[in-house]
Amino acid sequence: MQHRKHEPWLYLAPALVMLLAVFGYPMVRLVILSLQRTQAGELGFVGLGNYELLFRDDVFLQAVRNNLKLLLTVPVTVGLALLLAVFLFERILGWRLYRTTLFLPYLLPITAVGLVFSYIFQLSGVLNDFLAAVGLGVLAQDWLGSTRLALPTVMFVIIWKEVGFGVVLFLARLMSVEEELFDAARVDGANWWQLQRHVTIPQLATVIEFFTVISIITVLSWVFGYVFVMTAGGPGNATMVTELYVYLMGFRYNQMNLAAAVSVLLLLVTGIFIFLELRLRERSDLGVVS
Amino acid sequence: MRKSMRMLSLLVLLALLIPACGTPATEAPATEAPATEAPAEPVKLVVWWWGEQEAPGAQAWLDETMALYTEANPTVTFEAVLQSTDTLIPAFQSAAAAKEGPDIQYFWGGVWTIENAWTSAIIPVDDLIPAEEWDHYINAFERQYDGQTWGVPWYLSGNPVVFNPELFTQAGLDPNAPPATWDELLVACDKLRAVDVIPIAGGVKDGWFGGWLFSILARQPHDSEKAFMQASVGDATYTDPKFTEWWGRLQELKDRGCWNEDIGSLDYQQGQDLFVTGKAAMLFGNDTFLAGWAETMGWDKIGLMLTPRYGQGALADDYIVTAQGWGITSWSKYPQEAADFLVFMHTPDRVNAWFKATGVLPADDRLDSSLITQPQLKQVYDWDTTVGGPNLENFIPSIMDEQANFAGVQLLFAGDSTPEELGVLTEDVNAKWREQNPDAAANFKAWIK
Amino acid sequence: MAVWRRLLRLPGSLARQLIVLFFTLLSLFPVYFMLVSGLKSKAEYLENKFNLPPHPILDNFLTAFAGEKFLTRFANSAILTVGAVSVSLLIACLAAYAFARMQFPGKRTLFNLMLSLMVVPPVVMVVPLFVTMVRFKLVNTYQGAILIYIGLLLPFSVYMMTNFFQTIPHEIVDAARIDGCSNFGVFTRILMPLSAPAVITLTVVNALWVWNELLIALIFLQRDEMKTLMVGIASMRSRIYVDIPATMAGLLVATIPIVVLYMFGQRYFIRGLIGGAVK
Repeated sequence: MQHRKHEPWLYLAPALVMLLAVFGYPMVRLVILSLQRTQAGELGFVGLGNYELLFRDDVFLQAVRNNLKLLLTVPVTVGLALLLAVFLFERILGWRLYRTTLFLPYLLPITAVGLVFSYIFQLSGVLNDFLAAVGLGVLAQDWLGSTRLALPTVMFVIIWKEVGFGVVLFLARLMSVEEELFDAARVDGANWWQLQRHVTIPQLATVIEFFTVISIITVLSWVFGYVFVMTAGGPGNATMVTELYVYLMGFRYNQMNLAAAVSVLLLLVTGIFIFLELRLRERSDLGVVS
Repeated sequence: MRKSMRMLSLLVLLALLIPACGTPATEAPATEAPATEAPAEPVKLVVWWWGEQEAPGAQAWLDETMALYTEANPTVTFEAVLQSTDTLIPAFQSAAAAKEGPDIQYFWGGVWTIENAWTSAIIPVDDLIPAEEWDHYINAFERQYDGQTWGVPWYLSGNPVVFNPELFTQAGLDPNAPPATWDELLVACDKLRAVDVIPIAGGVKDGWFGGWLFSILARQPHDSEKAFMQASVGDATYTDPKFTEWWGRLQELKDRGCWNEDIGSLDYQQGQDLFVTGKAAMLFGNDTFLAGWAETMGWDKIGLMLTPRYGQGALADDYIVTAQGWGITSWSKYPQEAADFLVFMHTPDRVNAWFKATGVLPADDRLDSSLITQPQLKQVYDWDTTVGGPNLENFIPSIMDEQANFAGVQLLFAGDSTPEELGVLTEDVNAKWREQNPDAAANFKAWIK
Repeated sequence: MAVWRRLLRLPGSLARQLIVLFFTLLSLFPVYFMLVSGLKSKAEYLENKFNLPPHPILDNFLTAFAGEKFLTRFANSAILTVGAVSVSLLIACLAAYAFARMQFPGKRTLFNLMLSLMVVPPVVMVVPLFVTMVRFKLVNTYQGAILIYIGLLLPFSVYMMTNFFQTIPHEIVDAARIDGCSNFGVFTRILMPLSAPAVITLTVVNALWVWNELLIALIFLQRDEMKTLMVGIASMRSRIYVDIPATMAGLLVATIPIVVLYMFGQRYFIRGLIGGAVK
């Protein structure tokens, strides 16, 4: 298309300004903040001092540990989404309805979902009542109030919410695969498992990778809502995560510099995955979003 | 490739330049000359507060008080905003960072007020309020630092142990002689369990109750709140038996089955509900709720007692009471007008109206005590004025409250930590606080005097 | 193994049916729970938590509305959503036009850089953004929050619109140029009208995101009268809310708009969220 040399920049300007304002400048400021501290009323540079303090803070270390533990949800989410998508693809009765319903959790606000689940999981809540009603009362637990079970319970909710996205994603991709591939395999006598292993999964390979990366990024840096509403980081920091730590440090204890340091670390880690995602996108020509 | 690198570096350069040409926050236009005359200009006082949650009826009283004041002083109008518990502090900190927001801010006593003096977010009020007034305010000491007073008390919030006389009788306990010693408390637990009543109700999921338990139980071996302040600044250690004993006592209560089983999955209010609905016999409560509970349960089901004693310190015998109150912000354009309003809140008419509206005791001795007809409230008044003692939560760093008390209590009830470990946790949290916050620690030390 | 395989195949689709059904019910349960609890009285709820309400009442909705400044919060969420989505849409379309149809140095790098911003977690930005917003007195303002949301929405929006613009055949554009249309004219009179489906999809996806957002709203709109619905819900725990049915009723009101929109515009949600690239 013909245009004057500077014309694109006119169209790009508003977007560039906004992105610089919301991402560019803050990132620079972030790094600077993370290297400063207020001592005796004066704001000064302390090099990596804040980072040092962080690595000696048990609560921070616990947060990191928990985020890593949350990674365990990824294989479950991906695997479950795959399974369900395959079943739906096989056009079981009512598959369209199932797809619609399975996707719904993904759309609901985390805040509302978290609150509802926190009532469901109370010791005197619906889940335990149900277990008692079917004679499994002995399994009743204080799901969110036990230091052992709180994080797994949060994991359950995360999986519950994220699976739908994978199902729809995989299903859409499957439906664009040529039928012949499947027919050919079936004609060759492949059973269900072989079909999945040799046709379905390879066809879905890039999407699976993509969804995996998205899921990883999700549990590293998009779980604030779940924890804030369901457990507030408790009991006893059992569900503390880095996002909550940033929030508390920055806005409850007024420690902006420490909060900035954590943010920088989080950015670095996410950066690695961003890089991975870019490479994947280039390879697959796939356009999806978190 | 080189071209895009140039492009990128240009962008980065741009990013760095923006702060240089961004408009710095301009100072608010200079106010009129200091008030030597009644302000002819209209004055709007913004009040951010908390308290309806604790003292139902406060909102109505506040609205009425503001209306009356505007009637008498037509140039002064108000905007009052009730905050939620979770955002009371963060909202104020944002306001303090931006240096705009409320003129009058609600604060809990002790460190919750004083820490804002350290950051210069509030101003001392001694010069703004007539000297005679201070003689009538109760618990003003909670807001004193560096020889000045940094706020005005409003109402009193105390921590009795509330019990249900009916359930006591049911269990074979004498409602007129509630447990006074620790052993008596344990025995009471046994008896209540035997008739299928929850002995003590609680909820620790949202954390706050952990702070109360600390204040109520940890105090007993000590003589003064200064002991804790000293330990927090490092002049004593929280791993000493005198400090860890209370964790052991709490463990004792837990092992004895004194608490509701689901204490870990209930928020404090939900735990409180167990008492109000008659399922639990005792509650570490708050006297501001008494009038409200009486409406649901009836006064005959509400009995009061002091915390059963296990310790020998001077703090073991007292009635924990704190004054919730107000502060005037350092950016307020109308500090004198704000102070005048605070004084108006303490006129006898308003003080009596407060009590009538909420059933909560005001932090002012000009209350007409003949208004207190309920024996339970009379008891509270009596305790307030004779054996009132400090609420420890007001004298420790807030991070210790949250990371040691809130979290520690949760861990204890989850069966995850022993009393010794919790003592270590407390010490570690305080050491961390001193390291991350050298300025605050220095201020704290100065405060101890 | 052989037994299991046979089990799977014989009533093959039955087994699959059951598994899918199970997870579907699991997906629905919380919504079901919200619904039935919101219609029960407190006593009914305590008695039986998972049955249908024997005598449905609407009182809880009244309680929710009365106690929580619901309408204000609802309005705040709406203002933010409309403001952020509309402005970001405009800005994104302009930028996408440049990416899709024009040439300029560094185009590819810039595009990739912008894409990578899609996965930057907002939490990383909040601290410096807050400090900056304070300096510019934008905390507790609609403008401040909307600006942040626009920034966060742009990467994905530009990406989507760029992709879409690229699918519009060159012939149409060329025909318009021959008729004497300027570049801007092409933009306004050809490209945008043709982009209706993409715009709708993008609007739906972005609106959902802003509506559901918690962290930014929590930090930048702390003044009570500015709080959004999500923030109000999150603070619900710490109020005197032992009234679970009332809480559920409140949550229902907060989530019903989404559910209704979804039922009517399902394909927009689905298409939008998986990027429309999987044809």
